[in-house]
Amino acid sequence: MNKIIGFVEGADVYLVTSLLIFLLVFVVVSVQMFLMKKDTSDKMSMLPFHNSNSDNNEN
Amino acid sequence: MQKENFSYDNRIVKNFAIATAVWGIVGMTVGVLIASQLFEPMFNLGNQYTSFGRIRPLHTNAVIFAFVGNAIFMGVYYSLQRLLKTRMFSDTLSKIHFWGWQLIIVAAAITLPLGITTSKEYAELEWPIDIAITLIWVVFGWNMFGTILKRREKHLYVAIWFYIATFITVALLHVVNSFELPVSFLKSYSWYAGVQDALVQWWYGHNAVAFFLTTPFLGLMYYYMPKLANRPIYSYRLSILHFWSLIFLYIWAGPHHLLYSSLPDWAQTLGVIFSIMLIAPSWGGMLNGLLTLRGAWDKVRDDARLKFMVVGITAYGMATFEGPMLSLKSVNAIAHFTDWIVAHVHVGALGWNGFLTFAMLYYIIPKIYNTKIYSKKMVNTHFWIGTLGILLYALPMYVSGFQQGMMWKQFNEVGQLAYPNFLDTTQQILSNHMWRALSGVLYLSGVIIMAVNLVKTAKQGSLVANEEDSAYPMSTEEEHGGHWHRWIERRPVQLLVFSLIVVIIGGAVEFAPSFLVKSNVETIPSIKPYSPLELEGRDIYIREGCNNCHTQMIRPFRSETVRYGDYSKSGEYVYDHPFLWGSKRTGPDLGRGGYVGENAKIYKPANWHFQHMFDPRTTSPGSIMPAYPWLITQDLDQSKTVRKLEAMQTLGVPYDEKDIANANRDLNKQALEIYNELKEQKTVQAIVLENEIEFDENKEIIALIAYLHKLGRDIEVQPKEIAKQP
Ligand code: HEC
Repeated sequence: MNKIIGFVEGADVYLVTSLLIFLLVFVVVSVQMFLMKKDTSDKMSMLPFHNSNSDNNEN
Repeated sequence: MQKENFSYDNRIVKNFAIATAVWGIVGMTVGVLIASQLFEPMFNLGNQYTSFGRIRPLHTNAVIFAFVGNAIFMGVYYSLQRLLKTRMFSDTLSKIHFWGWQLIIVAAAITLPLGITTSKEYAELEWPIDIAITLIWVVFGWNMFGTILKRREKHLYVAIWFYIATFITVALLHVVNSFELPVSFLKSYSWYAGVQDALVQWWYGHNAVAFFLTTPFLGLMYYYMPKLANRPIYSYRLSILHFWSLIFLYIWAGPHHLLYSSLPDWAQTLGVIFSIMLIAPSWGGMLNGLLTLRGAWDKVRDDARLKFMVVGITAYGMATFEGPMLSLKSVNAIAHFTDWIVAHVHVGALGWNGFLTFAMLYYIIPKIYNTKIYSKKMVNTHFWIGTLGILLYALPMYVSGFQQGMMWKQFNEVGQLAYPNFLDTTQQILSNHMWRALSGVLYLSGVIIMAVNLVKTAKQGSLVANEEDSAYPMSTEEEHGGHWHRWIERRPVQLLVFSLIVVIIGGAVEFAPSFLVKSNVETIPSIKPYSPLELEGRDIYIREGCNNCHTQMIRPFRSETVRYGDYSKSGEYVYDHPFLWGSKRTGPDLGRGGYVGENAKIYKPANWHFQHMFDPRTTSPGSIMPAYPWLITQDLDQSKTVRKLEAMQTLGVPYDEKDIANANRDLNKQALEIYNELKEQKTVQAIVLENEIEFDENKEIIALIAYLHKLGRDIEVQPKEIAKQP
């Protein structure tokens, strides 16, 4: 089937490259997250709750 | 340091909220109508402006860009101001954004029923509207970035990352996919042809799902879920990891819409691999959302808004599990082109987008009107009726998709198709289509209940147009140290650039080979460009949206080659601006409709088409195809034929100067031949006589027949080429 629908010589390079690029980004971000200090992540996750006026949640 | 006083703009939030509810009701009503057309053609309402092919795009555009679009803007404008402790950058830009977007929606609601369409799914709007979308989108981005730059909170919460990625990627997708050459004020041809057009379109289509229906809603989930549950998100780290993996993987997965098509193998494989990997970040997001409720599940019992959230996020999890499964080639072979895909989409749309939107509306409206919700009971009712609607939609449609997909593939003991008549497979699923329409009515009723409830809520409160707040100004001292991620958290522009780079890499790797390597699309010498009449016929096919029900893509399975003829080759489509492969087989594939050689499978003579288009039920009893009587009475507009050929020439179709100079003459000559053949036929004479039609050689039907007879005509079939059945 490849012959008919046109298999591109060397195009698998693109496939492998793209996987590698992803892997790289993933590893870098994972390491950074692992190194993130607990108080930083706690602080960041509290950002939605900083409003000074009565931002309570009743319906 | 002194605290600064400022106010939030709630009026713009209110406006988007109203638009969300109104367009939601409109879009879903059209949904119920087209659902009904698929079991009872009477619901096409006997006129061209409401026939299925024209208003199916109206439904999709209305629910995606009008309902969900306005919901995104509502949710973003509300949360952005509060997360950044500042008013929106410019009230004027907010207003331009709001009214511009509504105007675009109105333009869509007018042009689509008129048949003014590019035919590319979820990008049907013609070029002037495309430009308007670009401008208004830029206004949105400008307003958002202005707000980010004048913020009082140094750190950008993860929700805002999702908003930024949404903005930049949608801009990129829209611009790249909208490359088209205008022929006239409301007609254009896609810049790309055939396989390339398909690749660009589904890179767009897939990522519209990713970056219009998913990333903004994840951002919204990261804000509204904690607010509703009154506790921070389960894991902030997970949300960051989730963010980068998701935007990275999504952008590559587009080709999974084109498995077994004429797209090169390597691109299909790429699409499959990245689609499978997508499960991880998608479920990361789902778990992060649901686990926010850990230890607080009792709240869900008492607060219907959290119920909406939980079901919505669960629906997201289901849809993103199913998506990768559907990219497996063996599953795809059955599910593609069937109702299964429609079910898949609606789990996401009704569950994830719909339910999150409802939760947001129930949260925001009482807040900005400084009151409580008018009736909690109605919220509960809405929740249950909506959930029932989703179930009743999904289950029958899964059954129907699976059933029809299997029936298409089934052979009997002697090796013939078990259901050679396509219509037999249609008949099997009509009752499922009735359930679908009913479920739509249920879901829509829920939305109407919500609208009433929200109006009553607004009436009992009063709009706080400018909500006062105060905060310290952002300190200008640089924080030193920390890793790059802390750094990027404080730098929105860099964040934007990073996300842009990520998506551009994905897009570039996908496209580069197919655009740079000529051998990707092998040329087939026997394939000729469309004659002027065939080209006009093709434009009628586009105008009527036949591609919403018919594919032109025969996959290399024995079950398909036996039914439709030789499978499709990429070289067949080199003159197709735009491509018309379609994505759903409500009717049979038409890719070989004009092939008359050995092994012709579906060729029908001109008078059959004439009769069938006038009333499909006369040739095909029980058919659910709409009737197209106006094609027989309407004159073909020849005034743009020359310009159309010139445009095609610009796009690389090998018409020479003579072809163009003689376009109208050639057109009339070919039309006359078909007319002369038709007028001799008794069936044609009977229709013309009985309905008192003035029929001549310049009617639209003749161009359409010429086009249908061109489909697959030029292909030289080698009988020895028997496709393997995977
Ligand atoms: C609502 C979906 C729908 C739309 C829209 C639609 N069709 Fe159909 N079409 C069908 C179904 C179902 C059949 C099979 C039953 C029949 O022959 O009518 C069919 C059959 C056909 C056939 C016969 C194919 C064969 O091999 O038997 C042709 C040709 C055709 N349609 C052309 C068109 C054209 C041209 C348009 C647009 C002007 C169009 N259809 C729009 C659903 C649709």
